[in-house]
Amino acid sequence: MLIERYTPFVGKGDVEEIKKLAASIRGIKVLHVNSTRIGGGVAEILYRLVPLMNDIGIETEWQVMKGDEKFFRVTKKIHNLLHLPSAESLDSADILTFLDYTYRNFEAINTEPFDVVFIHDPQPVGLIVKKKKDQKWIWRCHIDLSTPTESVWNFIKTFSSGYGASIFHISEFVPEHMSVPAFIIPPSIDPLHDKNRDLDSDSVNAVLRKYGIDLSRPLIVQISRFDRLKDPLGAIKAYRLVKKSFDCQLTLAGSFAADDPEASQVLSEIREEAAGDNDIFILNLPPDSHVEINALQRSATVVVQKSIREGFGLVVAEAMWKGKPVIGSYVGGIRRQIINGLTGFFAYSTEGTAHRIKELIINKGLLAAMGENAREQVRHNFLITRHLKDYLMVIKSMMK
Amino acid sequence: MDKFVFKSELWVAQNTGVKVNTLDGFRRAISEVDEDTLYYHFYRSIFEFHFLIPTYSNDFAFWFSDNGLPILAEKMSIIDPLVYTSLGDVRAELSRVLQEAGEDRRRFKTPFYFQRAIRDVVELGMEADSVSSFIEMFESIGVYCLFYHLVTARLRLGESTNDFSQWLRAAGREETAKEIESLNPWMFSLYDMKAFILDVLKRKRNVD
Repeated sequence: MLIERYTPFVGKGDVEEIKKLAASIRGIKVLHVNSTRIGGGVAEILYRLVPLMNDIGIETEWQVMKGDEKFFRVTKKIHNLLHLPSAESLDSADILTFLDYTYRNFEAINTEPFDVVFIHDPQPVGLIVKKKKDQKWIWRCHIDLSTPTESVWNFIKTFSSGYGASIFHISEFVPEHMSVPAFIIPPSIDPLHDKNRDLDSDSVNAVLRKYGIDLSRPLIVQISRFDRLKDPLGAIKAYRLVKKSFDCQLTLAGSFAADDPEASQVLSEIREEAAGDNDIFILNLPPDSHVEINALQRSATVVVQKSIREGFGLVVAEAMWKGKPVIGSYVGGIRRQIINGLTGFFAYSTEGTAHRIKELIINKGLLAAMGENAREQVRHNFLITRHLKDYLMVIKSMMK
Repeated sequence: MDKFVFKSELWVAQNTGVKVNTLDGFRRAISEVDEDTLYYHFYRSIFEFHFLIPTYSNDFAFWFSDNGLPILAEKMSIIDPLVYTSLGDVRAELSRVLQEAGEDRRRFKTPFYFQRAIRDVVELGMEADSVSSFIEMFESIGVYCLFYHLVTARLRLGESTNDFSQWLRAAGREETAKEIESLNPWMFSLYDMKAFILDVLKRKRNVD
C-alpha cells in the first residue's frame, strides 16, 4: 500500500490510525476540484493526496476546472484583491467573465456521483450551484482572507456561503463573520517528494559544486520567489552583517514565470545589490528544480525566511524537515511553524536576523538541538499524513 | 477480566468565530465557550507539541505572555491538569485566576482566536486479554493512542487515573498501575512517556 511508505516517517501507529479512520467512512465518494493540474502548492498536495485517499479505500477523483487566459486574468485579480484591501474592485466585465466560465464548467466538471466535494480556492467556487441536496460541499481556501477587499469578498461570499463548511490554513486567515463552519488545517509537505526525500551526500555535493558553492564554509540560504515581499535585499543586508564576523556565503534561490515582469525586475535589483560579491549566489532555477532546492536546504548551515508578508510559507517546513532551524519573520503561517527558541527563531529586524544567524553558526550544540526539534515539529504537524487525517476527520464530522 | 481495547484520539481544529483582544473579552469568552474549545486550548500543547517541553503548558498562558502579562501567563500555566477530572472544574479555575487579575483596559496587539477540537476516537483493532499481550501491543501504539488513554482519560473516567492503570489494577497489577499514574505528561514528551511505561511493564512483567 502507498500509505505504508510513510511508516518510516510517522510510525506504524499513525498509519494504523489513518487506515481505521478511513475504514469508518468507507463507501463514500470524494471529489477534489481545483484550477490547475500542474504547478502551485494546491496541485502539488492533490498530486499525492488523491492517490493516498484511494489507497486507503476512499474512492476519490480529482477534476480540474477548464479556463483560459481571459478567465485566469480575472481569477488572478480576484486572488490579489482577496489578499489585500484595495481601492480597486472587479468591474462588470470581470464578473461576467467569472460567471461565464463557471457556467461553462457546469458541464465539464461532473460532481453528481460524489458524496463529498472539495472545491479548492476561489476559481471554482461558483460550482456550488451544482450541489445536490444530500451532498457535502467544502470550500478549501488556501489564501489569507483576513484583510480582503470588501467588495470582492462580498462577491465570493455569495458562493462560499452555500457550502457546508470551509477550511483555512490558520485562524488568522478566516474572514470576520464567516457564515459557514471553518476548519483549521495547515498545508503539508510530502516526505517522498523530490523536494523533500533523503539525498545522499554525493548528490548534495554535486549540486553545490554545480553552482560553485564552497562546501567548507557556512552557508545561509533563503528559498523564495523573486518578490519584494520576501525581502531578498533584507536577507543580503543580514548576510553582510554576519560576514563581518564569519567568512560565510549566501544563496538566494527561486524561480519565476517568464511573463512576470515584476519578478524579473526584482531579480535585477538583487543582482545589482549582490554585484561584486562572489560569496552571494543568486540562483534563478527552473520551476521543477526540486532536487536542487532539496540539496541547497540540506547543505544550509542556517535557513532564513525574511518575508514581509507571507501566505503559509511552506518552504519553512521543508527546511525544518531537513533538520534546519529557520530564522523567520513573525508573519503569516511562519508564526505557526517556528516555535521561537526551540525550532528556530523569530527575527523582527535585519540586525536581529543577523544576530540569530551568528548565534547558530557559533553554537553548534544549539544548531543541532533546534534542528532535531524542527524535524520533529514537521513530522508531527506538517507532513501529508497529518493533512490526510485532517481531511478524513472533516469528512467524517460532516457525514454525521 | 475485560479485554483492553486500544484506541486513538484524533482531532481537527474548528474556528469558533470568537476572537478577543482584551482581558474582559477573554474573561467573558472563557465563561461562554463550549467545552471542546477549552479542551483544545488546554491540551493542545501535548496533542501537537508533546515532543517539546514548552515555556507554558497551555495556549492561554502563551497568549498572555505574548501580550506582556507574564504574571497572568504564569498563573494560567500552573493550572495543573492532573488536579482536574472535569472541564467544568478547569473552567472554574481559569475564571478564578482571571477574576483575581483585576482590571486591565488595554487592547492587546495579538488577538486570541478560540478554536474547538472536533474529536473522534478510533479503535486500532488491538485487544489485549493478558498482561503479556498488552505489553506486546503497547509497543506498537502511536502518540495519539497514548494521548487518549493516558492524558485525557481522567476527564472521561472522572477520577485521577488513566485507562492503562485502571485495566492493570483490575488485572491485579496495583504497583504497575500506581507507577503509571504517577507520570506527569506535561513534564515529558509522549515518546518519553511511552518508553517509561514500557520499561515499567517489562520490569514488572512477572511481579506485582
